[in-house]
Amino acid sequence: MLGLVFAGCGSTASDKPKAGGGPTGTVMIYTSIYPDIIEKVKPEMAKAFPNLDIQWFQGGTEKVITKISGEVEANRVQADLLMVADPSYYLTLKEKNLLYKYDAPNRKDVVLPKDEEGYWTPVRISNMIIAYNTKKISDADAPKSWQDLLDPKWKGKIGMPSPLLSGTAYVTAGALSDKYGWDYFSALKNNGLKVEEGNSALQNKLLTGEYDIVIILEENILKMAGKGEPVKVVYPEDGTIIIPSPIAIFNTSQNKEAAEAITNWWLSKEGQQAIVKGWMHSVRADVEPPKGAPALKTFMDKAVNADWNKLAKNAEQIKETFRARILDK
Amino acid sequence: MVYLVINSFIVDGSVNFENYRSVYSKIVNWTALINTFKLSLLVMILSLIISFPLAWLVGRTNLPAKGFFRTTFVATYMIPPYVGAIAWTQLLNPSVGFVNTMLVHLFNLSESPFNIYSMAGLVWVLTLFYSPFAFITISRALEKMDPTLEEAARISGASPLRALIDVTLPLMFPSILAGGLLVFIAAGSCFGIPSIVGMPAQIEVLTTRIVTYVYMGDSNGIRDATALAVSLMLVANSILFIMTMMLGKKDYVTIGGKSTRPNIVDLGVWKWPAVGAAVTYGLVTVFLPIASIFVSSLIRTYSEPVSLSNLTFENWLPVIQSSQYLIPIKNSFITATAAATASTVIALFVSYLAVKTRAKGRLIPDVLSTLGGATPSVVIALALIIAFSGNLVLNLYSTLTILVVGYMVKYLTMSVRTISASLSQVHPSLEEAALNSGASWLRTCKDIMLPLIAPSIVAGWFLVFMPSFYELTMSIILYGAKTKTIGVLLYELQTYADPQNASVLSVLILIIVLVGNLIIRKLTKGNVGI
Repeated sequence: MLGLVFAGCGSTASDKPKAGGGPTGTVMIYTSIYPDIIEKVKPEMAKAFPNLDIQWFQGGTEKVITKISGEVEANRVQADLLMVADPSYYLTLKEKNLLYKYDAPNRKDVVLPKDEEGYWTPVRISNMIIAYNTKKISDADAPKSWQDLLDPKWKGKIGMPSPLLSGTAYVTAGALSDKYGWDYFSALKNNGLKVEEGNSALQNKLLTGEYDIVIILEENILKMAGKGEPVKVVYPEDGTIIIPSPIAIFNTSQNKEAAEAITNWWLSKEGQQAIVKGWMHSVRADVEPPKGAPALKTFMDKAVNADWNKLAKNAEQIKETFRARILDK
Repeated sequence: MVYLVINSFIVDGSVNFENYRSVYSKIVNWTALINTFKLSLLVMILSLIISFPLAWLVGRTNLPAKGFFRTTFVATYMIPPYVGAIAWTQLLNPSVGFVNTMLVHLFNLSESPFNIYSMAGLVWVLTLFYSPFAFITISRALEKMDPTLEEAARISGASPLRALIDVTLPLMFPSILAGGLLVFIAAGSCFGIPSIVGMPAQIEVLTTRIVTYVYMGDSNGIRDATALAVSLMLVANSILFIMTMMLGKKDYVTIGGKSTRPNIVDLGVWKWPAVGAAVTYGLVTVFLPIASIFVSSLIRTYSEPVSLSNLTFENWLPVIQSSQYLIPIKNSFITATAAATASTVIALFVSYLAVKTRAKGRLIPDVLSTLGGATPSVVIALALIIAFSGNLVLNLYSTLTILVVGYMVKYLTMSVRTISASLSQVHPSLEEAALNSGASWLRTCKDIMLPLIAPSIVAGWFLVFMPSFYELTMSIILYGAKTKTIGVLLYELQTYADPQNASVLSVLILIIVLVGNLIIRKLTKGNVGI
């Protein structure tokens, strides 16, 4: 009953979702998916779940996690579903027995590592990449790898989001420090690296030319490039940082039937197309990459693998090491 | 209700005493504490140095166009600090800052004269956004002042300047301190500006540390954050305590029974220089950032220099046409009005208790309100989630009420400080006279006290309304599906949509507030408003 297209080629009445079909009641989704994407999927979901009242709470990953932390402390988790961009947080939630096990039928088509028992499943892919301003740097000159950022010619021209305030930046710090050691970041600091609050600040400063190069989420740059802005993505030769953001159901959900159906919908082809419209990559092989981006498989083999368990367990230590090395004067 | 929330902190704070050891075993947190203290103090001193002369010019001299200047000097208070900070980084960043590039061009400099990413830059931006607290508090008190003592000084042959320094200034002490304290607390508990301006400069303050701990996403993080937050409250309250001590037992009564107008000092030859100074200050502090925000809202793309071909009203169209903007504006109006009104009522009681009675523990509510004001918003938001998720009596989660409570906890201290300062300047003989003539206590309050402190009540109301109207940090964690506020919308636009749209919304907020202010002023013939 999902993804019905009324193309008129022999669609019969039996294809239409019956009024009264599907899950009922209300369901609450906490997510960091951008508001404009949510607005786009609302009508599609309303079609798929005609009798379900779907409510959203949207905020940056860290803010959603803060809200959940408060609710966990109060023993009143209000969310049925969670879709945020920090895979390591799901490991923490699973360990605390806060998640509900659901092996969705569509999980078989997800090409990325997922929780074996079905506690969480990747639902969208964000990538941490290098981006540059094409008015300031020629394509030939542009850095090709993480190592290239240490070239003295970029001194004082590079910005990155703070791992202390941004989940995706935290993953980046963890992955790159595993690959090259913390000395890599110290060298970046010596090359005048500036640290900003988050991706949007960096995106704007890349546009104005305050920075020539930024370490940033791919979707921000794809979106800007799509509008004709002079910015380009570099998929580093020494590995893009792939961040598969999962979807999971809370144990405390009062409407598991609806939560299961929605999970399965997001993993379906239709749900994944909505993800791609939001400039992110799909977790399925049968869905196109976002506009202006190469297919995931072209850079997946070379990706820097983040150690999610380590990221889940050593948050304080990793953040503190980054801070002491980079953010202390 | 408010105290219930604050109490939940104190319980939190004392329970995890062992956390303090873990938190303060880290050098960085000490550095942050010292930075916060240093910053707040510098911002406070600078704000007072700027605000007192301006308030005096507007309140007590024959400066032309006073109404215009008064609005100008508080206008920065109407810009959400989050947006204003971004505007200043656009103007003064060292690589492509607009003002910097212009100056380099004009004077053939070899490098940018200003770097906003520095301690000085941080002090500058914080001062601009928070000095209106001091200005509003001081100018209200100046205008209500009984001129007798000044006249006595003048008659005894003191020059106007001498009278100002020896008589007016000391008499204004409670208001100056109240204003200064507000600035101190606001600067110390602010997260937005330090994260935007301070982070690229690698300056850590307590609030950025606290948010870092909260974002750890586990109970430990929350506990460490609380421990730090409690230290911030302690710093703020020790300042409050020191200030109260400084006021001591002296007599600051300046509002007597006679209905008098404060005397206006004739500036004489200094009139036009004074206007020049006021205009310059207004241009730099208000016009520049607002112009920067306004231009941003018209700009087609950030990647091109500002030119006519790169300006467009296109960004305005979706904002004006879309209904998604109307609901948050309505929500923010409701919550800010409710928070401001409730805070004003509570503040009246708290101030009266603290200033005019001898009850035991009369200062406790006052101290509690300072606690709330000094607590970083993110910690308040967490405490509210924990307190009001229905485990306790009330389930306010995801309602507008929880937002109102949050705003009250955070901003109550604004109205308490403002009203307390002006109450302490009202002579007890006035009340006694009324009571002795047989008026009831309520009647005395209604007919004597309230009219005398009315300007401060209004000022206090606005001081709560404004920040509540565009509050961001708490709202983003506490809002629900139907209770989106302007602050949340602004954050969304800034983060995901287009920064240009965020600028459009900021300009709209500014217009709404200014127009609202004008209407109120017109309706009340200039008695009410800022």
